[in-house]
Amino acid sequence: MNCQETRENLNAYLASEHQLFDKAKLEKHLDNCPQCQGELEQLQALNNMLNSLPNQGAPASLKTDILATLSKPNSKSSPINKGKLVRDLLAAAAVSLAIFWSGLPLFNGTDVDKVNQSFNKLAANYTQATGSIVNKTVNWVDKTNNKIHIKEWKIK
Amino acid sequence: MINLPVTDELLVKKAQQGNLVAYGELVERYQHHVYSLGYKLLKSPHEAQDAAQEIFIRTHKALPTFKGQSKFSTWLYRIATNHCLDTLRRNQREQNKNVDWNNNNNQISTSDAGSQPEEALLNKEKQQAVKRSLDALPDKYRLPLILHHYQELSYRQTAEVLEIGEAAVATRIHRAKQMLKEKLSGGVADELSRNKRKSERLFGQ
Ligand SMILES: [Zn+2]
Repeated sequence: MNCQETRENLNAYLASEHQLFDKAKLEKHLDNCPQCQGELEQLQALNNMLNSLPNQGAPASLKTDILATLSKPNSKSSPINKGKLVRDLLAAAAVSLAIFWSGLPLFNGTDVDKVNQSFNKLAANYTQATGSIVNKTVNWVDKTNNKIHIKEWKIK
Repeated sequence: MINLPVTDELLVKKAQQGNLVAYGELVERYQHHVYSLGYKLLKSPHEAQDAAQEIFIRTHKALPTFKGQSKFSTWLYRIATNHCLDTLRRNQREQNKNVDWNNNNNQISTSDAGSQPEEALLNKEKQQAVKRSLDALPDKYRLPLILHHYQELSYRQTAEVLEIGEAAVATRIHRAKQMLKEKLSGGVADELSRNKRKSERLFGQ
């Protein structure tokens, strides 16, 4: 096996995907080629770097939200998603964004959960300020879709 | 009484007959996989959550068309991958006002707990550099890399999800790693020298 062929297979080698190349020949080449060994070490270091990204689990509400949507008898093909709707509404009702943004320092939270919590608090503040507008809109959505209930997130 | 593990196939069959509890069990089994795929492919945790919800609802709607030609997980991953790609394309068109992932994702991984603040900051910068480099890869290379490296699918499974050959998966992952190595060369060098120091300590040299 030459250097080029070796290098093309180093990732598969590291991943123990041995079916695509001759493992014995690759290892024999590695034993005799410091350059390819260096390349292997670099790829291991790269893998370590890639592993530094945190692995994020699904939020606890995900399954409940999905099953709630699916258990509604005549759920339409594009479900209204609570978080998304609230965000869309807030974006649309640009009425008192100043109040909205001054409510809490939102997006400098230290993790996603905290951002979510802040978001809920913020949404509550916002609702107090412009509750009637949001409520009207949500009532309208309620009528058309019967899926969103403002009280679910208003009280949080 | 023998407690046989309930297979995905059995749950799918029940779900196809309208059993929502069975589908809930499938959601339970795969929610973290689907969410974390969206988390890696999309721009923000919000998008990942929306995507995961929509993916499971789409999948439920499509259940009658699932004939078991592939494993349920492969099929689900295929729907999930396509949905994320759609979302990305839609968002690119909107050139949106979405909150940037980096502003929104200041969490430090648990391994940093208790370490020096400077080191935590360094790790955060490293994470952001990694995320940026991954985002910058063309989808053709990014998808197989993410499915294999982060979702821990084998080359075979990755090939099935993407409906390409196994050799193509290997080639694309190789190309993706080459591109990443170039973009992250500084970080790779740091990592290498740290590993060297570690092994020197280990062997008392
Ligand atoms: Zn060589």
